[in-house]
Formats: sequence, C-alpha cells, structure tokens
Amino acid sequence: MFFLQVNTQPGVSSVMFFGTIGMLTLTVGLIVFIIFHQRKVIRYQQTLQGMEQEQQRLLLNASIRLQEEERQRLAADLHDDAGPLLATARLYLNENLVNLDKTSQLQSIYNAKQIIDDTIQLIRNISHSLMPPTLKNFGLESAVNDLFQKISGSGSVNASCRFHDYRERLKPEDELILFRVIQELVNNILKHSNSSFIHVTQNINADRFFIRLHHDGRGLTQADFEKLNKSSAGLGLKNIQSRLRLLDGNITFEKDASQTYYKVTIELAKDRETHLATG
Amino acid sequence: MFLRAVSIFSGLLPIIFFLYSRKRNRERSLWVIFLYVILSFLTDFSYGILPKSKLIEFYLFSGFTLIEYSFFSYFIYANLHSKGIKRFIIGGSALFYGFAIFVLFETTTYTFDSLPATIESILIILYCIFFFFEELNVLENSFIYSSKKFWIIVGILIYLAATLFLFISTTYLTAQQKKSYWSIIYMSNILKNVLFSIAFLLPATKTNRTSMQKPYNISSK
Repeated sequence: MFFLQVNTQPGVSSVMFFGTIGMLTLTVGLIVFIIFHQRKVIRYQQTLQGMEQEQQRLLLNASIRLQEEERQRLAADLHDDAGPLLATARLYLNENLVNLDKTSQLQSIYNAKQIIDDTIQLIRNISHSLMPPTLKNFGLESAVNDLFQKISGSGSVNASCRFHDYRERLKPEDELILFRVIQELVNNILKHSNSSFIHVTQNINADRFFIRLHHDGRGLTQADFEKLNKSSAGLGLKNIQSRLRLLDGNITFEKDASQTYYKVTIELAKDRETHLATG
Repeated sequence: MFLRAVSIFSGLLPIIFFLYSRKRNRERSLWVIFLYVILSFLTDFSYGILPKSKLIEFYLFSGFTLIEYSFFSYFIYANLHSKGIKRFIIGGSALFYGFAIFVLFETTTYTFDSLPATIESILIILYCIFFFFEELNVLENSFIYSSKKFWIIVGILIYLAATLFLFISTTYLTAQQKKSYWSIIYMSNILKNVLFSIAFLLPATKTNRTSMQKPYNISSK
C-alpha cells in the first residue's frame, strides 16, 4: 500500500499496482496449474504403466504355462504311445527269434515292421502338430484349408475358408504365428461355441492384412475378451494376444449387427518390417 | 537502501551455489544463466559505485536489457524442441534487437530504456509460456519441479512479470516515485536469485522425453 501513498499520480499508480499484482497472480496461477497438471498426467501415466505391466505379467504367465502344457503333451505322447510301441517291437525282435522256425520268424519280423511303421506315423503326427508341413511348403492358405477339411470331414461343423488376396505369402515365421492364432480360435469355437459353421476370409485393404472368422455359435465380444485378458483365466486368449503382439497385430471380437453370428477380426500391417521402420 | 543492498548481494547466492555444485550444472544453457547472474551482479554493483550520470545510466541499463534478453532467450531457445516456436524466437529476437539498437542510437532524452525493457519482458514472458506449453504436451518421466530448467524459467517469469508494469509506467514516474517503486525490482531480483540458486543446487536429472502416450490399448504395442 505504500506505493499508493507515495504516488502523486493515482492513475499511473493504480495501473502499476494492480498490473503488477495481476501479473504476479497470473504467473503464480500458471505455475501452480502446470505443476498440478503435470503431476496428474504423470500419475495417470504411472497407472497405465502399472496396468501394462500387469498385462505383460499375465501374458508371460500364460505363455510359460502353455509351453509347459505343450511339453507335457509331447512327453505324454512319446512316453505313452511311442514308448510302448517300440518296446513291443523290441519284444518281437528279441534274441530268441533266431531259435524260432522260419514262419514264426517272418511273422515276428512282419509284426515288428508294422509296429515300427505305426511309430513312424505317430512321430510324424507329433512333428506335424509342431510344424504342419502344408504350412511350410504351401503357405497359410493351404494350411488353413487343410485344417478346415479335417474339421468338415468330421461332419459336425461346416468349416470353410476363402483367401481373396494372398498372392504374396507372409514371412514363414509370421505365417506360423498366424496359423497358430487361427488354430487356437478354431479350437475355442469347437470347444465352447456349439456352432454349426466356421468361415474364414482373408483380404487386404489399404496396406492392412485382415483375417475374419465368422461362426454362428456362442462367441465373445470385445468386452468379454478384455475381461478374460485381465483375469488369470483365458489362457488361450492371452496366448493369442501375445502371439499377435509379435506381429504388431490387433484382434477384435464382435457380434454381427444382424445378431446371428460372431466375428473375430485379425488385423496386421501388410509389410510389417516396412511398417515398423516407418511407424 | 537495505533492500537494494540485499538485492545486489543476493546475486552472489546463485554464483556461489553454481560453483559449489558445478558438477551438477554442466549443461551449456545453465552456464549461460551463470554468466547472466555474474553480469547482473556486476551491473547492479557498478550502478552503485559509478558516478551518477544520465548517460552512464542509460547505456548501462540499455546494454543490460540487451544482454538480459540475449541470455534468457538463448536459455529458453536451447530448452525448446518445437521448430515453430524456435523460429518464432528467432523472428522475435530480430525485431527486438532492431528496435533496441534503434532506440539506443536515436534517443535524445537518455532516460531509462522503458520501451525496450517492456518489449523484452513481454517477449520473454511469451517464450516462457511457450516453454510451459511444450512441457505440457511432452511427457517427461519425472516431475517438472525436479528439473533445473523449471526453476530457472519460474525465476525469469516471476522477475519479468513483477517488473513489467513498472517498466511500462517508469516514464511517467518522478525520481522520488521511481526510488520507491524500484523496491519491486529489488524484491523480484532477490526472488529470482533464490530460484536460480535452487535450480543450481538441484541434482542433474536425465529425463526421457516422450510424446503423450495414447490411451491404454490392449490390442498391440
């Protein structure tokens, strides 16, 4: 107030006094706003990071559990199927074989050969389940067709697929990941949805690669998918998500507008490496 | 008189703190502020001991306005990332230097350089606002008040905001009024020096600047 008292020109004094007070108030207000706003943004960001880390942890757990399950399945296949078969073949080909008559020897060798053939077939099946040869040799389209033919062959579900624009194959490792995702989705549909048809289409639109999967059973919506993803259940879905992350891909679940069937859309960048380099 | 002495010698605070913790203050822009603090202290000190002459005062204040603008604008320029804002600073500086030099050579009254000082304050306040605007849009991994540049910008902003209206109206004030009102400058100078000292004392932080993240997306990363 002493500024006002010493001044003989009240106009100038008031302007200066209130101007200075106003400027300081604005400045302090601006600084306080920036501090609080930034704190709020950082806290929000930290919450997001926490959620992201939790999601990563769930995905990692799912991936490890799936790996363990796969190893157990392989171990069980080899131990329970291949092991007894080879042991039986060994029985036929024991040391006593030389003491048997010619007909019995031939019979034993024939039986052992049959068992070894079965074992070869078994190991081939295990190997094919690890890496389908059709996928390796002829690509995703043929592998999906093959899979769907087998499903349709059972007679309970009508499975079909149509690739509209697949002249250029994806990279082999990307095809394998995508095939596993489709396989997992189809498995889920067969196990849980009770649908009568599964139809897969592929197309490319504006440098984006799309796989769409339709079925008429009980399906998932995006909300269900997100809920399952955040819970410890839904191992297969987490596995799908972690695989798609490798491809920088996106998956959406929705019920069709007609409410008659469910749709799952997988979306990838067509040229992933180029996309990553430029994006 | 006492306030003036405190204001002048408060200039030693940031100098001492900068030298005391110079390992924390290796950034070039901080050295610019350190240099500014030394020049500011020398100017204030020499103003007290130089003979009272309108001409000396005029050149001292005008020269200091130019130096102060240069140091502050360089500091803000060095800490900005937006090319658009940087271009604005370059354009603003060209106009300011042109105008200030014109006033320096064309004046006949040799009074306090009110107009260049006002323009300097307005421009630097604008640059500070741009700086804060950029800080709001660019997310850093640490709180804004843990960075040295924040405290320096706050010091500059408070100092210039407090003195802006005094610079505007200084032409209309009598010598007696000026003497009274100059305490605003002394107080804001003390506050600025304290804030600069805080900045120099803060530990150096390495920040990862990232643009604001998109809302949480579970689909892909």
